[in-house]
Amino acid sequence: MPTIEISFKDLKSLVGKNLSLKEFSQLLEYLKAEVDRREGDKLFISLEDTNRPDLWCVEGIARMIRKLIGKPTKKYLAKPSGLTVVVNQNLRNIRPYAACAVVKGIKITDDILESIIQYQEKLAENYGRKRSKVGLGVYDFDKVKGRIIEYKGVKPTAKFIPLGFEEEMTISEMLKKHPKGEQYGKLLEGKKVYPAFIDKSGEILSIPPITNSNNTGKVTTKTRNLFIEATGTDRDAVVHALNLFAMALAERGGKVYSVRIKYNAETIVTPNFKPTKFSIKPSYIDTLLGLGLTTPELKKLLKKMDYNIVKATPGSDLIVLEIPFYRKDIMHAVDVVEDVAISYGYNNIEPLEPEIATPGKLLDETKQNNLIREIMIGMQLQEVLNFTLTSKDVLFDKMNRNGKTLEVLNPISSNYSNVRDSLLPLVMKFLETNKTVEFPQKVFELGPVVLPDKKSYNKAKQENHLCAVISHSRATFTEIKSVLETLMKHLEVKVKLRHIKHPSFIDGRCGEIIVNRKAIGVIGEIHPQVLENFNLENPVVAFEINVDELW
Amino acid sequence: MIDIDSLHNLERKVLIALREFGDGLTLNVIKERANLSEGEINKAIEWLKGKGLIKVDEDVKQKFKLTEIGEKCAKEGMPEKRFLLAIKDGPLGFKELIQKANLDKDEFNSAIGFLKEEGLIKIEDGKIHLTELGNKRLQMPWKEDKLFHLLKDWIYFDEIPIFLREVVPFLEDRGIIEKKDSVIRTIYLTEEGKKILPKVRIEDKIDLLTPKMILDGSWKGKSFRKYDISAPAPPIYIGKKQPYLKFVDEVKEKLISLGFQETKGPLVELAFFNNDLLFMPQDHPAREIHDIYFIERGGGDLSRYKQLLEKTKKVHEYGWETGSTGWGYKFDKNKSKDIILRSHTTAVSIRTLLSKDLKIPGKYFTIGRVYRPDVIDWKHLTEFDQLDGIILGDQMTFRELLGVLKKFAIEFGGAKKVKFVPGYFPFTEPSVELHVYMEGKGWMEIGGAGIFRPEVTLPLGIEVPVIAWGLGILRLFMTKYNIKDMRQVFSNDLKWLREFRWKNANN
Repeated sequence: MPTIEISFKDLKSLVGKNLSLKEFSQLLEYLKAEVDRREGDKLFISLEDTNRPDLWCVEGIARMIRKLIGKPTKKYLAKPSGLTVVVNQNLRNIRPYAACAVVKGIKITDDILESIIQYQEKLAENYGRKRSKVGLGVYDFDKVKGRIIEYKGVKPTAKFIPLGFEEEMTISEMLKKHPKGEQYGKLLEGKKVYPAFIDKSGEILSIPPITNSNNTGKVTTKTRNLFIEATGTDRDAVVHALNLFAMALAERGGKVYSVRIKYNAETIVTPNFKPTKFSIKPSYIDTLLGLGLTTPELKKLLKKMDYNIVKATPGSDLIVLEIPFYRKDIMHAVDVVEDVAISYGYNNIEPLEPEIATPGKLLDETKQNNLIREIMIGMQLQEVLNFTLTSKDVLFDKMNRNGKTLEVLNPISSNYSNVRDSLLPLVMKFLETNKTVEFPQKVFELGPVVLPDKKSYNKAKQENHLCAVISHSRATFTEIKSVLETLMKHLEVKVKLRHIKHPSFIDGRCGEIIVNRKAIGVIGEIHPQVLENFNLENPVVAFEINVDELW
Repeated sequence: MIDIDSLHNLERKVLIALREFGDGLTLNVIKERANLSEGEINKAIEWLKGKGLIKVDEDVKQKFKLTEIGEKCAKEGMPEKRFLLAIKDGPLGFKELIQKANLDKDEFNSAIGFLKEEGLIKIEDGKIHLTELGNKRLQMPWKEDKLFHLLKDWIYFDEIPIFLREVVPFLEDRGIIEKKDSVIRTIYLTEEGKKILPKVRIEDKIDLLTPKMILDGSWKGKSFRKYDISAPAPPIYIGKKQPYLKFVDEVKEKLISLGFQETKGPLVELAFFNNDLLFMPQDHPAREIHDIYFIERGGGDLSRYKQLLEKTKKVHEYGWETGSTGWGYKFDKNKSKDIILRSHTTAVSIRTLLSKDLKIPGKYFTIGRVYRPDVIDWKHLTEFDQLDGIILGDQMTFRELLGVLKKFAIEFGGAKKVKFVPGYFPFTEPSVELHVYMEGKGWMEIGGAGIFRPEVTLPLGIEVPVIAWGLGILRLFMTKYNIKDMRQVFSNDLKWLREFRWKNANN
C-alpha cells in the first residue's frame, strides 16, 4: 500500500478548483485513498489499491478528481518523435524490454521536479518490484545526440560518468562507488554484460536500472524537453509504467511524442494511450448490485468514472465501452461493476437484509470447550488468554525440557518465534508476571496448540488443550488433582493417573493422565528448578490435557 | 462510640486484665493473667486494635539462653575454673589434667590459651603449674556460675542483675550462651478504651452457634453476642471468563441467532488456501497487502488438490474460464505449497466453500487467530483475531452485503452511524470498508467486505454470488469496553482480570 507526499496547493491548481480539505478527503474515498497526515501544505496520502499505480502521483489523483467533479480531462495523444530505440538481442536473458517517449515543452519547477522523481520512484519500487521488474529513467532530451538510440548490453569495463560524479569510471567501479550501485547492483550481479542506453555519439546515457550519466541524466528546472524510458523483465509492465509516467508529464503540460522500439522481429511504438474495448451486460451488473439501473443511468455512471461509451442502446442487454489505457486493473466485468457502484455512491445504496433463513449452529468443538470452561470457572479458576507464539526459552529452556516446535522463518522478535506446543509454559510465564499479585492464584487456559507432524500435509497437528494451575504457599498435588477429577466427573469421563518422569515436574509427584487407556496429559507439582527459572517463590501445581481426546 | 455489646468475650478478657493489673502490660503478662492461649490473645488484640480501643507498642529486645555447651558449664562449672582446681594440689601433665578436670579438647584448648595469657598458669617440664596469680584467682568468686541458673530459660538483658551483665559478651563469644531478638508488645488503652473500660464485664452470650447447641437446645434462654457488621470481610476472587473471550462468546451467540453456522480452519496453513485460491498473485504488490509468517517454503502437500491447483494456476495466468484476463504472470505451484501461519480468516471461508458439507443457500462464520509480522505496539499485535463470514445464495447482491455489515456494526459494535467506503482486496469486487461512528471517537474502520470475485468462486465450482466480510473483532471489543491499548486484551495482568467489570461497557 503506497503512501505519497503531495502539496495541497499543487493539487488544487492541477484540479483547477479551490477544494477544502474535507471535500478533498471525501473525493479521495472514490479513489480508495485517504489523507494519512498533514504537515502544513504537505499531505501524506495512502493509496489502498495496489492495482492502480496511475493514482500514485498528484497528477493522477488530480485527473480523477477533475473527472469526478465534472471538469474536462485531458485527451492523451502522442505524435511520432522520429526517434528509434534499437533493442539488442544480447540483453535477452538480462533485461530485455524497453519502452520510451519524448516529452517536450514542459516547464519544470522545483515542486514539479520533486513530484516527477517521487512518481518515478514509486512506480519502480512498488509496481516495478524494487526496479527488478520495471525501472524508469529521465534524461535531458536536448543533450541526446542523433535519432537512433541503442539499448544493448555493454562490458563491465565500459566507461561513463555516473550521475552526481565528475570523473569517468567503469561500470564495475560505479556499482561499488555510486549509492544507487550499492542499492540496486544486486540486480545485475554475475551478468556478463550490463544494459545500457547509447546515443549516436557512442556515449553511454545510462546503465538501467542503476543510474544515468551525469551529462544527459541531470534534469534541472532549466530542462525543457525530456527523454523518458522504462526497462525491465515484463514487457506489458514496462510499457504500462512508461504510459503512466508519460501521462503524468502530460498532465504537467508536456507534449508527448512516441518512440519506435525496434526488437529483432518486431517494432512497437510507445507510449500507447489506446483504450481497450469491453462489453458488459446491464443484467450482469444488476445481479451483483441489485439496483435496477437503466441503460441511460449506467451510461452516466460509467462516464463519470472515465469510461468512454461506444454503444449503449436502451432495451438491449449490452453496453460496449472503452477502458482507458491507464486502467490495467480491469480484469473482469466485476471490476466495471464496482466502478458503477462507486460512481453511484456506496452510501446512496439502500442496504437490504438478506432473506435467507438458515439454522444457526456452533461447532461441536465450541460447545464442548464452553462446557469445560464453565466447569473450570465454577471451581473458581480465572480464565486467561495467551499468545500462541512465544520463545524457545519459555517453551523449553525454562521448562527444563528438550524438544522442537514449529518455528517461523521470518520472526520479528525471538519472543514470538515459536508456535506453542503446550499451554503450561505460557501459563507459567503468566504467574511470573503476576508474582506480586495476591495469592492464591488459580487460573486456566483453553486453546489451540500445534505440534510438529511430518506426516501431515502442513507438517502440523493442531490440538485443543486445557491447562490449569494453582499457586500459593501451601499448594499441593491433592488440590490440583481435585480440580482434574471434579472436571472429569462432570464430563462423565473415567480418568486414571500413572507415575511418569517429566522434567518440568518433581519426580514422584507427577503423573500421566490416562483416559480410555490413552495418555491425554500430565499432572503434577512443578519442579523447584522450573519455579526458579520463572522467578517464582510459591509452589505451583498444574495439569494440562488434550481436550479433543475427551469426546 | 463503640458498641460494648459487640465485644467478643476474648476482647472483654483482655480489657478486664488491663483494668485489674494496670494499663501498659506486655502481651505475655496479659496472656497469663487473662488465661488465654497464644491464638486467642492474638485474635483479641487484632480485633481491639481494629476497633480503636487499644494501641500496641512494639519494642525489639535481646534475649539470652544457655547453649548446649552452656548447660555443661552450668553443671560442672566454667572450664577455666575446673582447669585451675585440677592443679590446685600440684602440677599435672596434659593428659592427667584433661582427665581430672573432665575437659574436652575444645574446652582445654580455649582454656589453656586464656589462662596463659592472663598469667594464671605456666608450663614447665611438660607439666602445667598454678602461678601465684592463679592461686589468688581461685580465692575469688566466679560470676559466671551465678548467671547460669538465670539463663536456663530465655531471659531479657535488662532482667540480668547489673553486676553480672559484663560477663554476657564473654559468654556469648565462648558459645556458652546464645542471643536472639524478640519483639515485646506492650498494650495501652486508647481514650476510647479507657471510656468504656468500667462497663466491660464477661457475659454469658453466645458467640458461634454450634451444631451441638442446636441439638441440645443449650442456646435457649441465652442471648447472642452482637456482631460488628460493618467490619471488613476478606475478598473472594471468583472464577471468571477472560473478558475478551466472553465477548467472543456473545458475538457467536448473536451470529447463531442470525442463522450463521460456525466453521474452523487450521492455524498452520498452506499459501494455496491463504493466498492463491483468493486470487492473490504470487509476485505482485497485491500480495504484499500484508506480510506473512513462513514456516517452511514449499514444504506442504497438495496432492489431494491436484486439479484445483492446476485450475488455480490457469486462473492466475490467464483467467481460465472465469471471463477474467488473469494476472498475466507465470504461476509457481511450489509457492502454493509454502507452509505459513494464516494471515487472515478468509482462508477459513475458502475452506468452507471447498467443504463437502457446504449448503446453498448458506451462512457461515469463523472467529480465529491470524498472524502478521508486525512490531507490537498499542495498536499492532503480531497475532490477533478476526471474524470472517460469508453468505452464499442466488439473490445475494451488494445491497445485502451492506445490509449485513450495517446490522453487525450496530449489533456488535454498538455503532450509531455507519459509512461505506470503497476498499481494495484482491479477492473481492466490489469491495467495501465498513466505518462506524463512535461517540467521542469519531469515525473508525472496523472491517472490510465484498463479493468474492469469479476468479475465486468459479474454480471452486460455486456459481452463486458469495458475499464475504472480515471484521476486527478485537477492535469491536476494545471499543465496547473503552480499551485503548490492544496489548491489554492479551494482558498477563491478573489484577486487571480480577477487577474487570462487565458493566464498564459503552452500551
